[in-house]
Amino acid sequence: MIALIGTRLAEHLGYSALAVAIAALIAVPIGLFVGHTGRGMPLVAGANALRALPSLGLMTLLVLLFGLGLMPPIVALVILAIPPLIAGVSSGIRSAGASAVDAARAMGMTESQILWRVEVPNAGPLIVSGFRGAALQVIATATIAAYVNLGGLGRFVFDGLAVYDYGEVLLGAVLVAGLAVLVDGLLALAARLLAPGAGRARLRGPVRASA
Amino acid sequence: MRWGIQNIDIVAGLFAQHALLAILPTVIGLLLAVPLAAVLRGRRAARTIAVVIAGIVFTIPSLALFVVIPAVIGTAILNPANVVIALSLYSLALLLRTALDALDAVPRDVREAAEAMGYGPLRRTLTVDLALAVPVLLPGLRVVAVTNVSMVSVGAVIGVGGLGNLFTTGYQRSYPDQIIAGLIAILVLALVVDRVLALIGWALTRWARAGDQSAAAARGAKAART
Amino acid sequence: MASSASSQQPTAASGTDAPAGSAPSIVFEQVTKTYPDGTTAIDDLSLEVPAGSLTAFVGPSGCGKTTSMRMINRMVTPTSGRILVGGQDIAGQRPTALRRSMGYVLQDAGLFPHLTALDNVAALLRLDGRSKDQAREGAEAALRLVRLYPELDRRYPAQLSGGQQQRVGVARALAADPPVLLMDEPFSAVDPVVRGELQQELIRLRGQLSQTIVFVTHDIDEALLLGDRLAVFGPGGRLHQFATGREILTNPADAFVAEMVGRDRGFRALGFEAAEVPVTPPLPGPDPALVRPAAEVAGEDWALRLDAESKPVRWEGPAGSVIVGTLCHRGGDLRLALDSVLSSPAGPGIAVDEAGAFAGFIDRTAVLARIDTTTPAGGGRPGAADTEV
Repeated sequence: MIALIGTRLAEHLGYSALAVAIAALIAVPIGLFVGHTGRGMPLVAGANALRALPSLGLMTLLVLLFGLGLMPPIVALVILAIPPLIAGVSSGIRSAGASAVDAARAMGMTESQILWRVEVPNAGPLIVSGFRGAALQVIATATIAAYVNLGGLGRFVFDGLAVYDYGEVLLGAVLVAGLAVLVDGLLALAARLLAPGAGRARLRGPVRASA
Repeated sequence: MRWGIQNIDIVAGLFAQHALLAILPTVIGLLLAVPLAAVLRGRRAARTIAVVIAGIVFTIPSLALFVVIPAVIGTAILNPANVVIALSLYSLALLLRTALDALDAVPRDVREAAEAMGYGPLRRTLTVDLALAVPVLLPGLRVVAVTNVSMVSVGAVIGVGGLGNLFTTGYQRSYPDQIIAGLIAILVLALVVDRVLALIGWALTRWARAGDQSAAAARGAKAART
Repeated sequence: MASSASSQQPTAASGTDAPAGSAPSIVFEQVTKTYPDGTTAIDDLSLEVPAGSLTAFVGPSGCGKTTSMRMINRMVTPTSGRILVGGQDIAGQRPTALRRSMGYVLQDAGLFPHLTALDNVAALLRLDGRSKDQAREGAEAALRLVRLYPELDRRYPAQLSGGQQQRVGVARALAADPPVLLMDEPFSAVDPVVRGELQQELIRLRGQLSQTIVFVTHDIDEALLLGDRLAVFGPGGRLHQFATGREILTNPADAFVAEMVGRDRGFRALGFEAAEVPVTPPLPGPDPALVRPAAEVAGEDWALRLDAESKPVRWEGPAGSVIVGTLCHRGGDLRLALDSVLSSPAGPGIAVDEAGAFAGFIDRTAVLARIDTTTPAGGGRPGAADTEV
């Protein structure tokens, strides 16, 4: 039984990691662009609308259209992960502050120098929190992958439901919950460690001139 | 899509059921979160504990909640109440954090003025804090509402999913058209819910926009002086 | 405030200027900036910032002073007209290269939150290709120049006070010893006490450095204090007057400038006159720490108590004692001398030397007579007497 749990856990983590990785490949460049140039906000708003898309529906549709396999759940999970990643990366890029970016430009830094030397080093915590949100969504929703015949912890849930073995269902649920909480905690720790300076040292925003 | 049009009555029925299953927990979550936030706001320790618990609760995948709650409170799995309860807890957890931030966003000098004017704490919370908290609260509320709309469909795997049932039956019968109808209907519902909430928020925050004009006028007057 | 004679050079002719490395002049030629929505930010601006001077761009918010300055390093491009730095049109240079030759100080310092104070300054030096160690050495020197406490070097901006952040911002601007320094309201975001300290630091630094400085401020007093010349901007981006502080106080170009300068114009103009009043020694007396002014100078029986270093502490009179008022130091201006006299309970003002030690008394009527010799159009007499302040 333990071995089975181990397998399912590994599968679940595997799907999740794969989906987040693919989503990152798409979302991070977009996030960097939107955060640095401030353009493309409608694109971000559109991405946010994707959050409303029901993953179950998407997965089942894709399976019917393209057959069973890894692709349908992964596609659904990737779509789910993209909005929080874009949000996290772009807000992270902006967190350096307009003032620091203006100073960097006035110092004669090129746009790419500004991005990599000023904006990105300050972006850590918010980028990680973007990944946290994405990971959470993905791990939770990867449970549904079992509905379309994949593995993962959802298997316990659906197999259990099929034979009215609610003990098994509960096992699956608890395992998924535990995994989600664990990963979330680890990423929160990573965010804390990545904060530059003595714990979240950040400049206040632009100060209003007196009088 | 053709299926959807032919069976519009079925879709409509599921639409209504879905709407109820999504809106009810959102409202319950809101009604619980705001007073709780108001109470917790001052108490440092209790607040931190509550935030941590809330954080754990919303980390738990809702499908897990749908399944665990019947085990905990003894309802049958097929009872729609499970979905409502689970999503209410989820909404509460999310909205608590938002409500705390929103109440924090109320400027301190406004609250002190109300207190100095003789407003009791309850009255102040209701008339001053809540009104001013809307701008921060509302976006969070919209996210929660839309997320709930999406989440309800997951309940279909335990048989309670509103429009989500179209996914499961469509899948079982290999009928993509049904699934597409479900997707479209859910997106419509999400859009409607989001727009309605945005409108309510817009109506409640006319004071925030009026400020922009008079602030600009004040800046202009200041610029004319030395 | 004494205006040092050296900084009031006649304006250099435009065209090819001083060789690279020394401070260049900055010339605006009919520069205009309009935005797509129709607002005119700068209206036909022509002026020449003399090489090595500190020119203050002063005016109310929205009158184009910051926009004008930001054109110098091409953060803003003119709609028409051109700008020459050191005789060269900046439009022909690459923006990043141009900006590296200029120091820029922002209103709220604009420090990078993720770097320590030292590394913030070093970051600029590393742009020139210096190694990390070289950059840090240079950064350290710059931070000592602005007199930041050394133990703060390794702190992050969020751990520094507003005044300290500003010092780091100035250090960063100066670190590469650029010929031009652009300062955008650098002291307006700090409280008045710190602001005064920073202003004095800048005055002190100018004695050691030779940049051409453009300083934007909305505070006319700051502009009068720091600027060799002031460019007064008005709404719509119009230049109303470009002249020395003394000129602006005694001869404002129009009602706008007069209003901008505000009240006490005449009194403040005294700040541009050297005091040049005779200093009378005290009456001989038994106690060197208790000095008395000559009888004809003082009204009642007042004596000035000095401390162990001969610094004036308080006036002691028949009814009680009063802490000393304004002390007029050597090289002080007429305004200082007048205030010293007015703030004295005994009558005569107090003159002190560079160390702050007592140097003599200033006669009230002598000060008033001296004021009479200053004419509204400025000018004043060249100094004559030897026991002068």
